[in-house]
Parts: sequence; structure tokens; C-alpha cells
Amino acid sequence: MFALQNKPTHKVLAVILFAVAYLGWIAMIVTGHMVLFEYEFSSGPFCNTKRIWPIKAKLQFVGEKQNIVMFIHPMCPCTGASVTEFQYLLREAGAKAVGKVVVMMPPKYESDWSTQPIMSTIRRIRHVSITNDPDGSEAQKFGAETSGHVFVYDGRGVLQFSGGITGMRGHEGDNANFQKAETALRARQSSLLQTPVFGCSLR
Amino acid sequence: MPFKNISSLVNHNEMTGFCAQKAKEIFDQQMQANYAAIDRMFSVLLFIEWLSGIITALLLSPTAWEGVSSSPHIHVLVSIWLGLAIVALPIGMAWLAPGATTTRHTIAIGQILMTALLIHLTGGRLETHFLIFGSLTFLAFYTDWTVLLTASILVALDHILRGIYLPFSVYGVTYVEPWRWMEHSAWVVFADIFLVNRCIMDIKERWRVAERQAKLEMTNEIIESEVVHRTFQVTQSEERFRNLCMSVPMVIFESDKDGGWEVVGMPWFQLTSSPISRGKEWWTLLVEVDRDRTLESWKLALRQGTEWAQEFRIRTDSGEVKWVRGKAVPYSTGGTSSRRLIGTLEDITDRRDLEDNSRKMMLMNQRDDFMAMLANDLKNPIVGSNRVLSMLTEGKIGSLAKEHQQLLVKLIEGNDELLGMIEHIISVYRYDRDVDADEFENANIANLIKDSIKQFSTALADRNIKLLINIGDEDALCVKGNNESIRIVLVNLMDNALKFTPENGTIEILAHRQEDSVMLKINNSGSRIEGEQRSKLFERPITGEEGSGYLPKVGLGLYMCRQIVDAHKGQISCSSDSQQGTTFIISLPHNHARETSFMPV
Repeated sequence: MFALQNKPTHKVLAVILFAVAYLGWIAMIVTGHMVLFEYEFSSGPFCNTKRIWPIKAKLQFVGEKQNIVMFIHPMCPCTGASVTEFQYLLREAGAKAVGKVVVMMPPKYESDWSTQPIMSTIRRIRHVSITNDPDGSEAQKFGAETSGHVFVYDGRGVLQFSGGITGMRGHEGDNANFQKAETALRARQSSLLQTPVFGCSLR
Repeated sequence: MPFKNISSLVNHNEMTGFCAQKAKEIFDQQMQANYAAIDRMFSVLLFIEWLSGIITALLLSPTAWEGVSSSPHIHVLVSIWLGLAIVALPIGMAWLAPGATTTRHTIAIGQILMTALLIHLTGGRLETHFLIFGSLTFLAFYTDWTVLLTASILVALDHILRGIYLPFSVYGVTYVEPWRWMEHSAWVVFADIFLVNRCIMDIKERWRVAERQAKLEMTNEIIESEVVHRTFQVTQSEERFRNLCMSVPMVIFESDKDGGWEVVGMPWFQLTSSPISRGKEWWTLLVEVDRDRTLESWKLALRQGTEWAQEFRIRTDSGEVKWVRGKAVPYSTGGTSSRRLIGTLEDITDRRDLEDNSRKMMLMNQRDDFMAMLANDLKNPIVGSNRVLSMLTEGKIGSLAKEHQQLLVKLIEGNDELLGMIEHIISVYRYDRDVDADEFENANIANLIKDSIKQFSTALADRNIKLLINIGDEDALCVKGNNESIRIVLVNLMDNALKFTPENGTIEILAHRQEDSVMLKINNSGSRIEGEQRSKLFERPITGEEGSGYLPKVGLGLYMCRQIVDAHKGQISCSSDSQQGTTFIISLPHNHARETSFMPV
């Protein structure tokens, strides 16, 4: 292309080709980023969530304390960020809350999934109980469809918050979703606070 | 252009125009080479970053899950394709247009975009953000601060735009203050301050190096030019010296440490006809009689380091003996071991011959003076004797018998003849020395003939000899010469003719113009002169055959005739046979000037 710059006509042609290539390059980069961010900001589906602790749930409600329940897919890359934010949330709640993590764990994959690094991370969190959900029935009972879905119940078992606590897929950090969960922890809400959940599907 | 930017920072007044131009060329070349090298470095770096992005995606988020089913995570796809899209153009330009301004700015953009992608792929980890500063540092390698500006502007724009539309993607929070981008950009600017400063300093340093190199190269060029100039001068000088040595009419030589010669130039060959010009072979050319003394003096001069001067003879290859004068002076190139003699050889054969001739001439003149003096001394007693004899024959002293008187008369005649011969001898020697061509005048041969024959009228009549004179156009018989000298020639030839012509014989004188000469012939009907005698007639001294008298003929008359004719640039010869008798032929150059002056206007 640049070898054509010897003659004026070729120079103009080279500039045009270069401009076209440059514009094409910019277009590709913009398109790529748009696709990326489209995915990063695509949340799981909102679902109808009962405002009280599911009676049929195997997961035991701890009375007089705020129960913070998070459903995760151990293989989802976004789970790491959600678990981190979950830790911050528990720290915010302090002793008045208990944490519960329900892990999607089909028996067929248990040997593999249970050894994932994220499981070790969760086990190291204080005051958090881990419950395997082999068939996804618990998630179904709570209405969780996306990994990273957090439910905050008050001491009476009334659901105060439902949704994700990360700003986008796999990204840690202060965000509006987390702040809503914090709000739900601080005071009872007249209406359920809901946020989009960024993570892999649990179904 | 970075150079234009730095030009304002450098004091060009200190540099000459040529040096500044040269420094700019060197600086541009170095910068261009640096740009191209960094372009290629970044092409490799971007490729590695691309691979790193793929590996990162594969490690951190290889798959996306939906329940128990999985598919490749979009990060993997993005790291491959978006990463490829980002690095493709910068890498391509780095190889297609290395060093171009657009290339490094495109690379800067690609590098920042790739850094952003890596940050994203690592989930926005703070640690990955350090790559921004790493990238700026790498870009500073260009030493082109405008590249840093491009990268920094892109970083700022990214923060502004994402801060507005996707704050969480860059700041990790969903809400940011409007000035938040400035905080992030400020850190970049903070880094840029040092990096840009470093770039400017580096460019200054490179410029100084270029300037020094330019001065060095200019100095080298000047030195090389001077060397070429001096070499040319030396070559010219050598050529001049060589030509001088070749042209000078003498041999120039230099001795070697063994006493041999190294001869310079053709004169050696011209002198000796010998191709030998080195070593001791010249010794063999020395003539035997001169060899010992010559070599002895030569070796002595060589040993003592003194001047050498010697005249000696050599025998050339053609067998000719030549006189040579050799002179040499010592010179030293350091230490006694390198003592040499340098000198010349000159052919002095002509000078030696001249000296020999001068010596011979001097001896001859002495002899001639002696002869003239002797003749003069001889003349006096004979004249005295003739006076006494005349007084006796005239009877002033006393009467004598007739027979006695006749004897005395014969004696007087003999004495007169002897006096004549002495006069001839005196004339010859005088003429040998005194003839002067500058005193020549116009001489008319016809008049001189008429004048000369007057004194022979009585003798001709006594012996009844017939004289025939055949003279052509008298005015055409003019020659340039000495009238008296030519008259002596004519008298001598007439006298000779009279002597050798028998009684009742004939003498014929012919004179005529023949082309540019005046021809004079004097013929007598006397006896024939043999060829061998004829060839020696005009030599000196010669004794001719005995005449009728009792005194031998000394023959100086004809020798003097030849001398006079030669002095007049003429020729004299003699022919003789039994029928025609003997003829003396004289040819003298005709005097044109005289003839022309007679021509009517």
C-alpha cells in the first residue's frame, strides 16, 4: 500500500485505502465492544418472588435474624464477583444476619463442581452455610433463575430484597444493585427492592 | 515532526549551515530507525497481548453456563476476534509502513485499546489497570511525546464516554461524579509529565549526538579532502621530481648500504646504454685504469660519510668510452647504519674533449708563433746576404768575373725564392690566426685576376707561355671576401701554374657564374699530378716533388689557399690528367647583396 506512494495518483489512492482501512478498523472495534457490553449488561429474567420464606424449602430460616441467601452456579465465571459482593453485604449486615449459599450441584457433576476454587472461597466465609441444590428445586422454590441471585429476608421471614448485587457480569465494585441490597438490610422496606441479576442461568 | 519541535529547543546559531543540515540528516535517520524499531517491538508486544487476552479469557471465563450445559464464554470470543481486530491494523502498519507518524499513533491507539480489553477480561481488576502506565512507558520509547498525547487523550476520552454511558465498566461503580474522569486522567497526566520530559530530554540528547557526529563527519570529510588534496600535491610533486630526474641531463643515484647504486631515470641508460641500474654492477663499467682509484674514493666516502667527487671513465655497452664526473653528498635517514650517499653522474666527455682540443690548440699556437718567429729571424740574414750579393754583382765592392757574377745572381735568386717561401710561411701562420669573417667585403674576381696576372707578364714572356683568360660577365663575379686574401690565392695558383708549365705551354684562366657560386679554374699544360699526391696537395706540411731548382718545395702555398678558401666558405680542388694538364678549381659563394645593389631600379 505504501509502496504506491511514489506517484501522486497512487498517493491519493493509498490515502483513500488507508482511510477506508482505518474506518473499517474503528467500526470493527466499536462493534466488538458493543457486542461485549451488550452481553455484559444482559441480566437474567425477572421472576415472581413470594415475599415470605418458602415454607417448603429445605433451607432452614433462622429466626430473629436477617437471612441473606444467594444462589450460585459454581462453574459460572461471574460467580466470583457475586461472592465477593456477597461478602461485603454480610460484613455490612454484621451479626444480625446469617448468610446462606445455595450451590447448584447436580450429582452427576458434584465431584467436579464441588472442587472449584469458588467453593473454597465460600467455605472460608464466616457465618455462611452452604447447601447443595442437586436438582434445582430449592432455586425453583425461591424463584432464583440466575447465578448470583441474592434474597434478603428480615427476621420475620419477609423478603426485602431480590436480585443481583453486581453492576454487570463478573465485575466487582460498588454499584447500585449492591446499594439497594444494603438499603434492604438497614431497614424494612414497604415494597420489595429488586435488581437485575448478572450471571449464568441456573436452569 | 519531532525534529521540528526540538529544533526550537536547540541553538542552531552555533552550527554552520552545512553542519546543521548534516546533523538534521543524521538526526532524522536515527529517529526514523528508532521509530521503525519501536514499531516492530510494539507489533510483537501487541501480538503477545492478544495471545495473553485469549489465555486470560480461557483461564478466567472459558465457558458460559445454562444449568448443566455450557458454551464458550463471550470473553473467549471477544479476546480472539475483538483482540484480533484491535491489533491487526497496528501490526500491519508496523510492517508495511515502519517509522511513519501514522503508524506509531495507530499503535498507541491499539495499545490503549488492548490494555482496556485486558482490563475488562480480568473483570476490571485494579492490578490490570497498571498496564495503562506500562503502556505509556512503552510508548515513551518512541521519544515522540505526541504519541503519548494521543494515548493519553484516548484514555481520557474512554473515561469520559464510559463515565457517561457505562461508568461501571471503567470505574466499577454505577454512579460517578462528573469530574471523576479527570481524577483518572490526572494520574495519566502525572505520568505523562515525566515521560514527556524524558522524551524531550532524549530528543535533545539525540540531537546533540547527531550534531557531534555531524561535526565529526564534517571534520572527517575535511581531513579526507585535505588528504586527497595533499596526496594529489605529493603525487604531483613526485611526478615533477620524476620528470625532473628523467629530464635532467645527468644521472641521479642513491647508494645502498653495500655501496651499490639505485639509479633514477633514463639518463643512466642514455649514458651507459646499460640496463643495469642497481647494486654494484656499475663497478664493472669502470675502465680498468680508473677502477681502483674510483672505487677506493667511493668506499672511503661511504665509510666516512663524506662528500665524494671523482672524474672517471666508463665503457658503455656499445664499447664507447665516456668520461663521467660523479658527485655525491651524504645523508642519513637515522643512525649510522642507514647512512647513504646521494649524488649525480654527469657525462663530461665533451668537456674533456674540448679541454684536450684547447690544449692541442694552445700547443699548436705556440708552435705557430715559434715558426713565425723563426721564419722572421731567418728572413733577416737572407735579406742581408742578398744586399751584400747585390752589391757584389753590381760591382760596388769590386769587379767580378762573369761566371762569378752569374753564380751570385743564381744565389740571389735562390735567396729570393727562399725569402718568398719564408713570406709564405709567415702569411700562412698569420692567416691561420688572423682571418676574420666580419671584415669581408665585396670582391670582384675579374678585377682580382687582372690585377694578379700583371706581375707574371715578364715571366710568361721569358718562357713563351701563352696565357688565356676567359671571363664572363664581370659584374656577376662578385664574392664576399677579403680582396687581399683572394689575390694571394690567385697569385699562388698562377705561380704554381707558371712553375709547372713547360716553355711554350699554355695557362688558361676561366671565371664564370654558376648558380650561387663563382667558379674559377686555372689550368696549366704541365705534367700530370698523381692521385695520391693530389689528395695531399692542400695539407700541411707537404713537400712536393723537386722542381727544376735545387730547393725543395715546401707546399705551404696550396695549404694557405685552402685555408683562405675555407674561410670564405668555398671549395678548392684539383684535377689532373695527361691530356688536359692540371686544373685548380675554386668555388666561392656569390655575393647576392652586391649583385642586387647593381640592379636597376
